[in-house]
Amino acid sequence: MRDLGALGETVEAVRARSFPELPAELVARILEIEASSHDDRLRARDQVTQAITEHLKPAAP
Amino acid sequence: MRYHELTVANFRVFAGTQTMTFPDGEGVVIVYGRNGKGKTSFLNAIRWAWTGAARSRGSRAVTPDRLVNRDALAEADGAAVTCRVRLGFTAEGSRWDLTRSIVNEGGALSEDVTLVKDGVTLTASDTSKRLAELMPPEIEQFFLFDGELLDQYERLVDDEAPTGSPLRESIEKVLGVPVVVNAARDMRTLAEEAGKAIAEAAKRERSTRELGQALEQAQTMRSSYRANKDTESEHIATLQVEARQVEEALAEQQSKLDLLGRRDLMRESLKELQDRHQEAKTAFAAGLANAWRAVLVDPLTAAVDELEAELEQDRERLSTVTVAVALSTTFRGSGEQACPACASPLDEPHRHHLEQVLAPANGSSLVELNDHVHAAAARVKTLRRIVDEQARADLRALERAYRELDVQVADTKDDLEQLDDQLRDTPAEELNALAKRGSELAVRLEKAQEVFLEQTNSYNNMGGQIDKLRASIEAAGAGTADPATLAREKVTAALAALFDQAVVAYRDKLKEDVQETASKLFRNMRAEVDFAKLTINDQYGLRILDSKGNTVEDRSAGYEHLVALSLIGALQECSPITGPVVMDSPFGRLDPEHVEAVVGQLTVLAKQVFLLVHEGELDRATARKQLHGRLLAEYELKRVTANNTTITELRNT
Repeated sequence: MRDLGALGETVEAVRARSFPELPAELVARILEIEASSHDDRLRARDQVTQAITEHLKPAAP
Repeated sequence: MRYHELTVANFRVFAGTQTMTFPDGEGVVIVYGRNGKGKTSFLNAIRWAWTGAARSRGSRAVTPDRLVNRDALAEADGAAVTCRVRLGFTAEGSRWDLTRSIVNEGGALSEDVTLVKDGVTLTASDTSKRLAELMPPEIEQFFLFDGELLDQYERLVDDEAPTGSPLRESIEKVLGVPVVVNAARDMRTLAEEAGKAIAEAAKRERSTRELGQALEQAQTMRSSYRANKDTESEHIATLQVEARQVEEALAEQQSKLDLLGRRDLMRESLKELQDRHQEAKTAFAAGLANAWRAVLVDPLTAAVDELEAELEQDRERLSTVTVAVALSTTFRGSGEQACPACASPLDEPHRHHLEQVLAPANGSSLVELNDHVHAAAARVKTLRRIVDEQARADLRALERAYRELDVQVADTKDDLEQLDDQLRDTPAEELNALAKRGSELAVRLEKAQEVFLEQTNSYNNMGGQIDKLRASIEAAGAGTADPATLAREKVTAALAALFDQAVVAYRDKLKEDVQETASKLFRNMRAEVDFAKLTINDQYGLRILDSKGNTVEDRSAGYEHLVALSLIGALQECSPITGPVVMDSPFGRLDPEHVEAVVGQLTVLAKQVFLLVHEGELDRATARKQLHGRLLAEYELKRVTANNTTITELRNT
C-alpha cells in the first residue's frame, strides 16, 4: 500500500543537487526504515544506526 | 488496496449474517437505500472494522453497546449475541481478512479484532501496527467520506485558525511527510550522540580539555533546548486537539438550536404518521376479521351466476304465464267459442286444445311465480353485493400500506432518537464553561507557542556556539576523536540537513501536485466555466479562482462539495497510500448536472468506489447509463423491520 515513489524521488533530487557526497543507497535505506517503522521510534533509530555503521565500515581488504 | 468481501452480522440495523462479494476490477459499487435504511451503518461497518470506532450523524461516537443489533438482542433474551464485521481485501500483494467483533452477553461487552495475512493470523501487537499502517485513523475521512460532514474539509481554507488545521497533519501523513520529518529528527539525535563522543575525546587531552568541557556543556544545553522544544511541540499539539474539541463542542451547541427546531417538526410528523399508522392498522385488522369471506368468493360467484341464470329463466316463464292468464281470461269471457287472440270462431278440436293449454294459467299461479321471481332477484342482488365487496377488499394492499407506515414510523422514531441523543445534556452552564475553557486554552496555546519559539531560537543559537567550539578543537589539533566517530558525526549531520531540505521540497512538490490534480478534477466536474482553477494554501485548503485569478468568496454548498471531492481525488492520486473510497450521501448538495459530472469522474477519484445513495440523489437508470462497464455491482438496502435491514444484490455487470 505504501509506495515511496514521489517521496523517494524528491529526497533523491535534493541529495543529488545539494549533498552529492552522501550515497544514494544509504539515503534510500534510511527512508525505507523510517517508512516501515510503524512509528516505533526506538526500533527505527536502532535500524538506522545499524545502516550507518554498515555504511561507515571500512571496506574489507 | 481493493475490497473483496464484506460480512456484517448483527451490526447496527443488519440483523443476522449478510455477506457481499465484490467483483474484481476497477469501478463503482452502488448501494441504494432510502433515508434511515442503513447507508450510514454500512459506512460505519467499514469504519468500525478498521478503527474500532463508529460515528452517528453529527460526528458523535456510537457507544459499543449500540452497535449490536437490537432485534438480535431481544431474540437472544439475555444470551450472548455476537456483532461482527469482516472485511476481506488485498493490499501489498497479500490477501487480508480483518474481523472485528463485539459480544454482548446480558449487557456485558467484550471486543476482539483479528487480522489474517495470507492465511496467517497476526499477533495482537502486529495487528494494531498493521492496521495503523494500512488505514491510519487520522486519515480515514479521506477513504470513508461522509457527505454530511463536509465542514471538516471546509475548515481547511481557514489558514489563520489558532488551533491549526485539524486535517493538515492527516493530509501530511497521507502524503508521507512524517517519514522524512522522522528521518531528519533521528539523524539529528545520532549526530548529537557522535558530537558527545567528540567532546569526550577533547576532554581527554590537556590542551583541549577546557574546550571539550565547554563543548560538552554546550551540547548538554542544546540537548536540553531540543527536549524542551519537542516537549513544547507536543504540548501545543495536545492543546490544539483540546481547543479543537472545545470549538467543535461550542459549534455543536450552537447547532443544537437548529436541531431543536428539527426535532419539533419531526415530532409533529411522527404524530401524523402514527395517526395514519393507527388507521391503517384498524383497516387491516378489520380486513383480517373478514378474511374468511375471501375463501367463499369463488364458490359464491359460481352460485350467484347460476342463480342469475335461473332467475332469467323464471322471468321468461313469468312473462309466458302472464300472457297465458290474459288469454285465458279472454277465452273464458267468449264462452270458449272464439280464439282469444284473433276472435275467429273455433272448431271443436282447436277449442279442446286451447282448453288444455290454458288450463294451468290462473291468477294464483301467476302471483306465486311473480313472488318467486322477486324473492330470487333480491337474493341474487344481496349475494352479488357480498361478492363485489369481497373483491374490493384487497387485504394485501391493506397490509402493504400498514407495513410501509410501520417502517416509516420506525424510521422517524430512529431519527428522533438520534436527535434526542444529540440534544441530551445541553444546559446553559455547560455552554458558559465551554466558552471559558476555550478562552483559557487560547491563552495557554499562545504562551506555549511563545515558549516553543524561544526554545527553538536557543537551540539554533547553541548550534552556532557548538560549531565554533568544534572549529577551535580542530584548530588545536589535539584531542581528536577516532575517525569512525568523526565520520559518523559528519554523515549524520549531513543526512539531517538533507532530510530537513527534503521536507520543504517534498511539501512544496506535493502541494503543487495536489493543486494541479485537484484543479483538473474540479474543472471536469464544475458547470460554472468562470471558475477556472483551485489554489492550495499552507493548510492544504483549496480555494476557487475565477478566470481573472480572483478568489471566489461565498462558495455555495454544492461547490464546497465539489472542492472536497477534488481534494480527495487529488490526495489519492498524489499519495503513497491509496485505497477504496466509500462515500455516504455524496450528492446531497449537488444539482443533477453536477451529479452527472461527478459520476463521470468517480473512477478517476479512486480505483474502487462505493457509493451509498438514495435514488433521489442518483437514480438507477442514470447510474447505469453513465457508468456503463465501470458499474461493478448494485445493492439495495431494504428495511424489513425497524431494526432489520437486508442487503440485496440487484445485478452484476
